[in-house]
Amino acid sequence: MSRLEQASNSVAQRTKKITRALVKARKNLLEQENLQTGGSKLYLRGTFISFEEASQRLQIRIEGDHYYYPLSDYYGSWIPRPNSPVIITRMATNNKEIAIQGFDRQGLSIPYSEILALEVRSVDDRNGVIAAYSDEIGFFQINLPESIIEKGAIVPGKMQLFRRVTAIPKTFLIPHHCNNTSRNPLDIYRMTR
Amino acid sequence: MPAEKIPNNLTIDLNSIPEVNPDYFVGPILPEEHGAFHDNTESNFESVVEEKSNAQNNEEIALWQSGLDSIQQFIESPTNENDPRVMDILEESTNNLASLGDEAEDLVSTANEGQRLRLEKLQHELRFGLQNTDLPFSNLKKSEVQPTALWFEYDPINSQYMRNFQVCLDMLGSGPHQNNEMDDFQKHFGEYESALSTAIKLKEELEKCNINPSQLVRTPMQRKGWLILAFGDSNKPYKLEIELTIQGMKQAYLKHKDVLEQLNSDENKYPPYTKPLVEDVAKFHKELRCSIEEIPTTLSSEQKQVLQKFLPALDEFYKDRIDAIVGNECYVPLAGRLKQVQEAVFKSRSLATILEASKDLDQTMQRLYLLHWVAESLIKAVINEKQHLHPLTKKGEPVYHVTAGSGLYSIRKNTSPLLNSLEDMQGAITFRNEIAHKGLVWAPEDFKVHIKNYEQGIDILSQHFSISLAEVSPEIESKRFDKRPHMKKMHEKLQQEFGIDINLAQKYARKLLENSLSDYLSFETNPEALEQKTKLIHKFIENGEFLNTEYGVTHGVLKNKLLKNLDSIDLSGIKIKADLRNKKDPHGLSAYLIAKLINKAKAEEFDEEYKKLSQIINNILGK
Repeated sequence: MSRLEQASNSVAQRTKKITRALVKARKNLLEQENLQTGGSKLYLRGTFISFEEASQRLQIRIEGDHYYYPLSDYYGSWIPRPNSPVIITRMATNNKEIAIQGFDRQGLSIPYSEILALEVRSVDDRNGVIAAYSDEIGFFQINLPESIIEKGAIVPGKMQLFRRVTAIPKTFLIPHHCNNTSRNPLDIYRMTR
Repeated sequence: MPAEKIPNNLTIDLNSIPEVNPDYFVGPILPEEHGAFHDNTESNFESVVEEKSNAQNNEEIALWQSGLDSIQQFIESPTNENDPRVMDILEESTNNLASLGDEAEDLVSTANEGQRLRLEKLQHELRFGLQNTDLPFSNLKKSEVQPTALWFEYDPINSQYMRNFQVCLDMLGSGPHQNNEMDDFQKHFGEYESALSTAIKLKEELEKCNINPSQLVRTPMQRKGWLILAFGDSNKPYKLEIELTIQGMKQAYLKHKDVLEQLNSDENKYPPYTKPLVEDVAKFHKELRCSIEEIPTTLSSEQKQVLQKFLPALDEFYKDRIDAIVGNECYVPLAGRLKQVQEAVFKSRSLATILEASKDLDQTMQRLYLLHWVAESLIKAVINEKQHLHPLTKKGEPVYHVTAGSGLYSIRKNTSPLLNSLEDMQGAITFRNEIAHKGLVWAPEDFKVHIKNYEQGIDILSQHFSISLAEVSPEIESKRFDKRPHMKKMHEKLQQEFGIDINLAQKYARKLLENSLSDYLSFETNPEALEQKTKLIHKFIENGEFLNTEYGVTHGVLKNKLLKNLDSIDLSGIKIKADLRNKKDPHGLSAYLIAKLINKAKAEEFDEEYKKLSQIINNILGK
């Protein structure tokens, strides 16, 4: 009897040891999955701080320091609220362009911005205003920043693609450049719809 | 089942059965009987033998039977199979084994999944991953960002409400004190108290139009104002973030308690080794949830104490970053925005470039530290040129003992027009010093004020003494020596008393100098010990040979001073072995030996120390 008891007790102790080892191993596995491997990263984590309408710049804190990005780097459909997380990457196709993805405070990602096709009807350089037409909105007036007027990026009588970003009460239209030059941009627009 | 576990082929070991003493039934064989045994007839003999053998057999059979019976009982007893204790134990063990097996299977599957995921991630990162140079930090400064997007407004009727609501939130967030930025608002709405009532009205009207007013919040100020509207308190959600950061501070403090207490307790002590601390603070700084400048907005008294204790660690961290920017030795490499500043400084080494580059850092603690460093080096440059401003300086000597505060005070004293104009700068310097050394808890708006004061003061100084900032270049200093003022004093003493070139000493006999300096400082309180120490140091350092040549330490010092008293040893062997041991600093071993001598040498133990040294050297040489 006593030998049986001893044997069974030893078995119990061994099982305890093994369970501890299992728990440790499981923890290690879970931790190792979260580790970033090597020196290469896919993205930077940051927190969004503020958005200025006049200069259209985003202020983002990364690793304790502040950085400024133009609005054209942002790819969400609306602007996140202050102190919410943000992820910054480079575009996979073109390794130079920066892309910023915003998140809610709950951690849900902000959806990708809609693409609008606009036809510019007339340009007022003095007042900085365009009359434009789109299928969704109809005729409406758009205000231009001065830097765009100087560049002459907008041509009347031509359809162009824009990303729409809402920052109530304003909505911003960011010129959207397609990499596929062979296709007509309008075809891509229809495909996206 | 238990019955199956017992093996079928039972073999009984006879040894296991207890032996019985044969004397018990035969009795001792006496010499008289022995004689009778031979003398008696055969019948007698046989009868005796039969009796004995019968008795033996009976006894043996009884014994056998008893043993077998016990074994049979053990095997056949019904209690053995149905004993509840055994059953319980066996059931437990089987259950445990089953659960173990399940867990192991789970774990193997998770491990396989994990490895698969990791492989996928690795492949993905290898395809699209970014190296450290390609990380998407933006190179743009604050003023360089240009608007590129077109914009239009939704409803011109509602948009006025929205704008006014945002201005109200700004007003609420900035607090009751008046700002210049709020002038437009004050024309429309008046004072702070009316902002609350107007904000509540506007909020109701926006909700009528199916517009969520929380979407209008876009800056930290507006967020504060929104929190005041929603909760009546601007600090509620900040509290969690700040609590988490202060918990991190607590952990770091407990980890590096000794170093942190040494840093601020006595200034005369030798500065401790702070590399692990700085590295930990850098990690902590990366994972911060709110900026450091905003931390003291809501703090309980206990949390304030934690912050005050942690401040010297932050001080060390920022100093290390400044070292990295300037090009000194540093513990943590830079990344991102500060690396850009560093590159700008490396291109043209002057204070003007540092001032320009610091404008990218906004109103942060880092910028305050940079400006303080710029001010300090400018003040040193001023005093170097005009020695009458400071009583202790002499021409041609480097200005080690001057700090920013004391230097600026003496300059203000000796030049009457600057006495009042540089008062703000003096205040800024005291502000920074109290944060670093006295545990001052700041308000987030203080940085704005004092950074302005620093910049104005630097302008005034450079204009008054006609020193162009582009010409003044930052000095490169080694980390552990020239950092603190008391170390600089020691350097001066060493220079005056022993006539050493400290730059040469740092190059060739750095370990020796550090150790001797540390002892020099630690014995400073005892005058007698100090005398002995100074004599020793004088002996070792007086001879200039080891300073001039790279291997001079081994030859000059060991040959002339130490090895005369020891048995004869080949010096070439020592030299070669020292080189082999650590190639990076060839004088390492001998310097280590000498430093050991200086460390432990007192007047009484001096002879013993020589013996130990000789033993060590003999061991190295293999004698």
